[in-house]
Amino acid sequence: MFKKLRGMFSNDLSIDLGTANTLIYVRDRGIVLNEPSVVSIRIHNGVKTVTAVGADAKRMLGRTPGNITAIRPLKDGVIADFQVTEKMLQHFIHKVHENSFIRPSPRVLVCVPCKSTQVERRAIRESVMGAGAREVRLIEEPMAAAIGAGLPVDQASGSMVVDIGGGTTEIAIISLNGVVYSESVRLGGDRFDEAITTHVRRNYGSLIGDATAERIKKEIGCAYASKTIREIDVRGRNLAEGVPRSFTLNSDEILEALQEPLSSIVQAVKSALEQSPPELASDIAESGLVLTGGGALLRDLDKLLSEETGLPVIVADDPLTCVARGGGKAMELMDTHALDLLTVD
Amino acid sequence: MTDTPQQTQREHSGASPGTMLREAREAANLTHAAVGEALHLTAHYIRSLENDDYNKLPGLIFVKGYLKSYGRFLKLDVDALLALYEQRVQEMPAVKNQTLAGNYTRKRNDQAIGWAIAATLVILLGLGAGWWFVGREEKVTTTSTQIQLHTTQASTAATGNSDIASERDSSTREDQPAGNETTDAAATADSPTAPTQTSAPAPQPAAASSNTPAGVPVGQPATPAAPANPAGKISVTPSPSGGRQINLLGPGPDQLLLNFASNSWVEVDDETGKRLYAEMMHTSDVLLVKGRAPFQVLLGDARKVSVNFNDAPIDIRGSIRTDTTARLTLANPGNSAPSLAENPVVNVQRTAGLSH
Repeated sequence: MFKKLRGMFSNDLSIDLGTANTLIYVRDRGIVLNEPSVVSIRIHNGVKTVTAVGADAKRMLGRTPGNITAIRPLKDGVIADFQVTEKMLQHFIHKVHENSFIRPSPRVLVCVPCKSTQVERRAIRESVMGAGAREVRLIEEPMAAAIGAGLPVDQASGSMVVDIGGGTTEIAIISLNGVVYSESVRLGGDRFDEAITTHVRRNYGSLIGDATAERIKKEIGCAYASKTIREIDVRGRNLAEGVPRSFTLNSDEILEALQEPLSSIVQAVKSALEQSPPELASDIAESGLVLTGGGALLRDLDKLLSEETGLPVIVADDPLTCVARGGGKAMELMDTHALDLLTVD
Repeated sequence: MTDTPQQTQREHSGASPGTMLREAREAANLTHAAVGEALHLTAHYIRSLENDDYNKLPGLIFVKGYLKSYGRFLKLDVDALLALYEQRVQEMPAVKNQTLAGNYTRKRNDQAIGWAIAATLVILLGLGAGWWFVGREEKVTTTSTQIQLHTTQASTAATGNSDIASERDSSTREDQPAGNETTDAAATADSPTAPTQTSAPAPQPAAASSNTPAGVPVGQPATPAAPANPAGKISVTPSPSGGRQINLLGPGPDQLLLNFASNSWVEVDDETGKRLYAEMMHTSDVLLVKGRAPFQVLLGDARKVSVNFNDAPIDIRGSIRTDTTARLTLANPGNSAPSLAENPVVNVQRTAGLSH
């Protein structure tokens, strides 16, 4: 009963619990938190304490002394470390209720990968409950992404959404508020970073960190060959000489490095199109598919998919926040039964 | 595309994104079909875009995407194109807007309810606390008055019995409340059945006392019968045998004298059933009742009590029941010897109530 009373002073939240970033959308306030899903933990005398969460912790990634570990508690879109995820969520929920003098107890809508198992969903649900929520609803990520992108999900026409996140790529065909076909590929932005790191090690004999790889991807990464070549100077530790060295990378070689994960995504999209019912396939062929998620920001990815599939491909507005915004829009239906159509167990 | 100053002016003044696209396409010498093929769009979508007929297109998000890719294909300024488009959309409210939020715009009022409940709770708590404090103060005042009353009465009683108290140490008992008196009586009773007998009648005097305006505690030996016998006079003097002699002097010629050789409960009622006296008597105590016969007497331990009625000893052995109690009716029919009669009805009731 007290939880319910406390809940009246808490805002309803929609959380996009992503591998790379966690976004929180608050009803009537929009997106209020967008922080990396990173927690740094100090181990002192065998006791673990959380030292930093989010952006602060991300700055520590790869730069920590022995007694501090900066970890990402989610892997491939699902929880890898239950307790740390709970702590992280607790921190984020408190952060969005900073001005509240009563302990928050919000209703929370969490986006989960569509191919996550019951065990993984339960872990997410219990983790959010442990972080102080009084009610947890789960919605499939592509559904939230489609709503966030503004697709006509409630109509009897097929809409296809490809959400490329940090850990997973979700592909779904949606019609009449339901997912007709969904596929989750466990590769995303992180795999692009890994591919760049591997490429640099192989071709330059140098080791670069995750943060540097991400910077390379954001600045010169592209998915389709173009006439303009961009370059970037990076520094890494030379494996042979053991000292840091500087070298220049260009967009063409990054395109080459990204070929493998990109072709996997293209394959998954093609496979989804192959398996969709003909009427919906025809709708999609006419209107096109929509790209959301951070991966959609990779230059010319829409062009690549468009050329490969022969369909118009559209990048949603502000693709990074699509899932959280979609969750927020779905949450507005929380008091009605309409939400039951959208959520999953 | 080569922008002439005239074109630019037209674009920025009243032109729509459609006309901008069409002019660029015609300048590039492309057909609808060619553009459609390049963008993987059907020709009628291209025509709809150029005619600004967005209702024929799947949805706003798609229109925006198509415009972006079309603009990029024709190497137009995509931002300017989209700005024009946004302007156009705002002018055309009839354009399909298939978003969930459009269908459900509900204002949340949970928080208002929350604050209302909190305010109500605070007010209720305040009222409750106020009531409690006020009630407590009143109670304290009443209690102190009662304590004062008790002290006065106890001191009066103690003064009256000062000589007895020195001998019998009864003054300690006098200060004890009625409940303790019963316990005391039970503890000091000789016979094993006595506690049962004595504990049962005890509430009666207490009940009687509650009706009295003064609220005098009944258990106090000096004043127990006072409320029960307002007409009579009670006095306590030391008896020759060393105990107390309690004199109950009412109007009437008859006299009842009870000598207690052991602790025993006693009840004396007058002819109307009015309780004259009821108390636990102790060894060597004497009870003298003057009044109008018949008296109804209940003795808790009748074996150790000798009864004198109008100066004549009365043999009560026949009336003693197995539980050592006796219920006597001492009447004075004319000048003849006092008769001894039992009240069978009462006996049955008492037996039923007390023996087990």
